[in-house]
Amino acid sequence: MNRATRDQLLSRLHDGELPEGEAEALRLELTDEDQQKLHALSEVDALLAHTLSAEADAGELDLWAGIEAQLPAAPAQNQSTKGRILPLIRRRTVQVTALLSTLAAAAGLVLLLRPAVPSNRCDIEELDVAGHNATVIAVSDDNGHETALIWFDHQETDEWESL
Amino acid sequence: MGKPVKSRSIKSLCLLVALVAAALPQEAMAANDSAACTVRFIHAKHEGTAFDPKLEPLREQLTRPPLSSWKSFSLLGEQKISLHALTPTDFAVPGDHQGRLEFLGTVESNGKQRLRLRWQLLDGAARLMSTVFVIDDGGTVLQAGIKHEQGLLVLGTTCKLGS
Repeated sequence: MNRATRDQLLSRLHDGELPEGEAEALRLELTDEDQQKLHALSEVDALLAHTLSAEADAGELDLWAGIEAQLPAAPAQNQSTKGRILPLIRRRTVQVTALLSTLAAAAGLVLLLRPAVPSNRCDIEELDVAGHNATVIAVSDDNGHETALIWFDHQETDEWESL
Repeated sequence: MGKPVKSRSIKSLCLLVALVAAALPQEAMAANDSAACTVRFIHAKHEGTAFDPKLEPLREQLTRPPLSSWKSFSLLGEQKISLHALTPTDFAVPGDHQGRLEFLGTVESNGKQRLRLRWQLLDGAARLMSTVFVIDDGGTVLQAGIKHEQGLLVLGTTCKLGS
């Protein structure tokens, strides 16, 4: 095994990339030089980790700046359209609500101010006539409202009697 | 010196409230103590087709059976009568008859005030018809049966609370 291959094996052992059996076999045949190289690799790792942590702590990590820089610029038209949609819906809602309220108020006003329809729900409690017959008739109009008609037979003058 | 002024204000306010409270029932009672009626004298004839425009509110009632047997309707006159409770009021009726209308008070029905009235049709001392009925506020009742100048006399009585 040449040196380069040996160093690669040590590096993979250090990184934990070797299969368990191969790694165990390699550990059994490690020489002092190999041990020193592994130790040196560990030190380099520790040094790198310390250095990166120190750099991260030194400055604020602004991920969004990096992401935003890579995003395609959003067209200005899209933003203005998006801005218009919600107010439009709101305007429609307000308009519909106002329209319905106006219609309801108008309907109430019509009911309040409509011409009085002759209707009475008349209850006849007493009825005396100086004739032979009297009839109470409910006359309905087109709307189903009823008006009471008291019909009594007309009598000639000499047939009238004092009740 | 501020305290007596405050006390006087409270007393004035209480007096005002008491006066308003006392006035309200009287107002309501006054409204229920009187009625305003209109009695229309209608001449129905078999000849002609004329329909008096002044009778338009009663068109549907006058042009349906049994009154539809008459083809022309004209308003001979009308009496506007202010009635006070339990005080009969006389008025002239075409054909040398006399009408007598009396407001007997109100009857509450479904939260609404209805009018109770006595209607009498007189010929001198003879009572041709006497009836007691209850109608809605603003309601109309029709009476018919008296012959009048080759036709029929129809009486339309409309009453509402207050005068």
